[in-house]
Amino acid sequence: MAKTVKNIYRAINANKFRLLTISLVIAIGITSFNGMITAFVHMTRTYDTAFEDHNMASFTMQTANLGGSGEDAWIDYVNLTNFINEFQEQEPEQESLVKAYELRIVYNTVFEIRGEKQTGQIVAMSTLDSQGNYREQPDVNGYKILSGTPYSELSRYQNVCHIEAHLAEYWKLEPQEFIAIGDSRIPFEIVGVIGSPEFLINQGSYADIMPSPRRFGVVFLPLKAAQGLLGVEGKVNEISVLLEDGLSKNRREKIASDLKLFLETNYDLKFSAPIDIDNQPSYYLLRLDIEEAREFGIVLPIIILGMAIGGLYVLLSRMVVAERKDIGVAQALGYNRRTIILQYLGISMVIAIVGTLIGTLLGLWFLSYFSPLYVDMLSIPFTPEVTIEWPIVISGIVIGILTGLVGGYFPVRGSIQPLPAESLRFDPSLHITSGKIPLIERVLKLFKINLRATGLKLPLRNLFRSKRRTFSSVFAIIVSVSLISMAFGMIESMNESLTFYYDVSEDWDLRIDFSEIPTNTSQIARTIKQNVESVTDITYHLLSGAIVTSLESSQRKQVTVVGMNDSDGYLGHTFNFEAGDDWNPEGLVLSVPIAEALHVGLHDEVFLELPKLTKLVSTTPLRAHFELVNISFQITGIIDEFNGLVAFVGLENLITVSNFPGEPANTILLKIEDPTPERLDMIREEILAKYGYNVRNIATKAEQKGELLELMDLLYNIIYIVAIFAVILSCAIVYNTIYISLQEQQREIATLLTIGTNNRKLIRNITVENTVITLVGTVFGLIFGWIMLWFFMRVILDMEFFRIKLFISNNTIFISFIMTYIGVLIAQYFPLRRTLNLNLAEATKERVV
Amino acid sequence: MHVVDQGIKIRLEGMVTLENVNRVYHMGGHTIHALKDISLSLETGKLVVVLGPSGSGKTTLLNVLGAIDKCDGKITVSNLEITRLNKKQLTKYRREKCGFIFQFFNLLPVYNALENVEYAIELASKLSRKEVTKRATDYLRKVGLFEKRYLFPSQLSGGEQQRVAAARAMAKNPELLLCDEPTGELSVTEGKQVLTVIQNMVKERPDVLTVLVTHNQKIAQIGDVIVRLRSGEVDSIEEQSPIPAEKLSW
Repeated sequence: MAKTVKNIYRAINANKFRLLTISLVIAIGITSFNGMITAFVHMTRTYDTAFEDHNMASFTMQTANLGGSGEDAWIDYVNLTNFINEFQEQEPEQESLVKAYELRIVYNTVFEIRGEKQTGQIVAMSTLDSQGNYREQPDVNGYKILSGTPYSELSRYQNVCHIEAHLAEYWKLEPQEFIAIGDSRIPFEIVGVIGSPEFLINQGSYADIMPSPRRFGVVFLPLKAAQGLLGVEGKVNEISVLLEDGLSKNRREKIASDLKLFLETNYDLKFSAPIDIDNQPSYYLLRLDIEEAREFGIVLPIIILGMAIGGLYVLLSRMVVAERKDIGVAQALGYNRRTIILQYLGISMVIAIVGTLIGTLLGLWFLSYFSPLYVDMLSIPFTPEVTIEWPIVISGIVIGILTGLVGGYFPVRGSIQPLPAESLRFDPSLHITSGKIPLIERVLKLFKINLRATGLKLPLRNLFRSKRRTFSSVFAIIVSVSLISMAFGMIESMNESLTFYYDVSEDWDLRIDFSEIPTNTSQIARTIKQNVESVTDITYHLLSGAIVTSLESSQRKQVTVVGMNDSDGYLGHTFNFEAGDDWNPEGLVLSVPIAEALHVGLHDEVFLELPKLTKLVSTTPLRAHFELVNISFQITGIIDEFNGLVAFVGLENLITVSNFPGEPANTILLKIEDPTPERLDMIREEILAKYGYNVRNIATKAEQKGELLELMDLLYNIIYIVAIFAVILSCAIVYNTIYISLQEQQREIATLLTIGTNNRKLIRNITVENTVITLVGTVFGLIFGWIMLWFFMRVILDMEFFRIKLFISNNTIFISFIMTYIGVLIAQYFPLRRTLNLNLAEATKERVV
Repeated sequence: MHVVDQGIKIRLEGMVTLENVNRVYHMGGHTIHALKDISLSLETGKLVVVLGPSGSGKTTLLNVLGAIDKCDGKITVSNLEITRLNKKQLTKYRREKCGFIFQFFNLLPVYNALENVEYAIELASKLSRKEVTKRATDYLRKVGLFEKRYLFPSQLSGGEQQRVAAARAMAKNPELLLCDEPTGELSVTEGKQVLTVIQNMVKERPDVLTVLVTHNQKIAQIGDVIVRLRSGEVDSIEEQSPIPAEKLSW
């Protein structure tokens, strides 16, 4: 045993640098496994704890005409309390499952912060409990006070508010400051900044692909103050219910639908469909996000450790081949097969253990960096608790060691011959030579092209001398190029999709979003075009949320419907059709992710659930009663664009089916002649001066793109981390393989030098050989890179919010090749330098190492 | 042939001269004096056998002559003082003036017999492709391997490989043919074939000095001169009538 340990030590010592590179690959695999899986666990636990501690509602139910007026918009607080209590009494089984409920006001409105308009939502809850006593926290959908104070007993009589953390951070708002809320701009004093699990991600709806605190901010009010502000004394419009822990989604939905049915049947109330906690926008997006982190945390290590197994296999195969005579001697001396296998397995185990240890430590470091970075980027006010997850650490160690076992066992087992004599007769340099003239050379001969022995014939023969040897070298290049091209391809695909979206799809220079929907938009547009200099084209859209349903599959998807005005042939949007070829205002244009999710194609019929005006309250601002109706549309186009959850219809069509008065629109798009930032700013000021009272936001494309990029920072960071891993991995694998390849030829190189080959010619031959290997590997590497890119972007990072076009540019192809080639040149430099400075007398006698 | 006693300086006139050549190795804290003050003068047209037990310095002597090992002192080959040459010049020296026959053959495994010989000729000469092939073919014929010229080393026996190595060494027209235990890895029959080839080459090329290193007394009988080494020093130098290799047995 002691001898085996000694042999293992010697073998490792003799090959320490090469072995270390494999350890490094394993370390990266284990780092990503530990780091990402643990980060996923931490984040999930942190959010779950945040949700549990703050009693996030199991489901919510809002009035059918949320934000409107009338009976289907508002319900009396006291009555509703009685109705729910009645429901609980009638359904004792259900009652035991309802832990608490909260009656709230949820209302989309405008704020004025430091003189600027901001849209968002007010959420209001009572500051009293069911006994009428003052309470600091609501029973359902609680929150964490990050700064300031809770409401006081007197708060319900005062205009005070709490503001949600994202909004506070965006505007740098602090307690004691004031914001104006609602059309009448009533000032409210901020008493605290809060973090709410309900708004972990600051998202108003699924369709909001760019959740920005600038467009959606949340302000919490005491119920009484909100009722006063909105003129709905004693009313609420939402029920939030907290159920017992551990109920299945089906069970939760059953209770929600029973409650809805009960209230609607018995009391003639109207509610929209209950929203289960799983479908709550912020919660849903967060789950989706961290689920992706988990998938990434599994797939990435599998790929890296697979490469480590490959690298270990190649290294040990070569080592065993080189030492086959020693193995024969050992067998002849009486060592049994088991002992010899153990010795080589010992080497691979040491590599694996070193890699695993480094990986585990790096993983912990990575973790302490990754989780806080993640929450910081999403501005989530619940910091994850970074702890060592021993089951994951142990799993990582087991996986690391298994990598060593798998990568080490097979090459050794295959190399030990049953008879020692076979090993003793073995010549490694001949083993790596096929003893054939390659086909390409025979073909060249047919064309009377005879390569010189001292010329390119040698590198050519070396390339074809052993399939296994060449394959392992090409494999290393494939790994390197595919990793680098995939990583850069991910970044490029994102950039390209965004660039295409903003340079081609979004055909405007300035976008005006209104707070209230004007019903005379064409007149506003005309006036702007006539009065504002440099406006070359102008159009307007009406954006609203809707559910699109497939007639065939009954699948439903929430989308943003864009009603497009086709004035003067200017749409403000250029379609990139995947199916269909022209914009048809009578039909419906869907994005690829929606069409795929609904399993629908061109010319299929789908239903669009749209609001239909039933009673007009006022035209300025547009206030009305609506009911939701399903309108059938034929799909006239499917577009492959960045925005994944979108559907386009003709504005006139939309107005007709929705029964809207006038020409309503909430967005105006302007095309500007020579749109320099200065000019855009000037126009912005001009429009603000004229229409500022109703303008929520005026943004240039650069500003909107900037906001989106900020939002996607996390994704970019993950991709950059993958890219760094890829480059390190590539270097390690290429270095190792090329190094071994040259080491195997050491005696041959020494012989060539001895018989008078000069260094230049030798370096040229080796460089030519490695260049060809790099070129061939690059071709296959790019193919694999593309497949991996597809896999990561379409399978792992599959988000229907964004449609990322897969793209690998010529630059990336070039960079992948150059980076790998530089790696190859560096890898060949060290063994070559060593060989060129060898004692030729010894090297010509030396056995291949 | 001039015999030089250790420590006594006399005029050296041979094609190859060594004056006070020393080679010291430092290995793992030990100092090994492989060559101690060797002075020799060797003439062309002879087969000089360097004989000695293991560790006597015979291979080191061969290596310093072939400029693949460094030493102190002065070595002159055809009036060229190789101990003063830089790395580039040494490569040129080995390429143009030396032919090597190694114990382990050291053929290029990716080349067949003909290509192995062609490689050496191409390196050392500026002959046309046709002339290179012709000369390589001629030399393979001389060593009895014409029929096997397209076979790769892996398809040849050890003796055949060594004969290819001999053809490779001689085909470039060297001034110095250096053979390091050329039969060390071969059977007696194969060994005799290889030694016969070397003997024939010596006869055919009076302008070449052939130095063969062996520890085998019997093999030493094929040489015109036997230089006996012991512990890095010249023990004796004897001229003798060589016995044809085919008559040897060991």
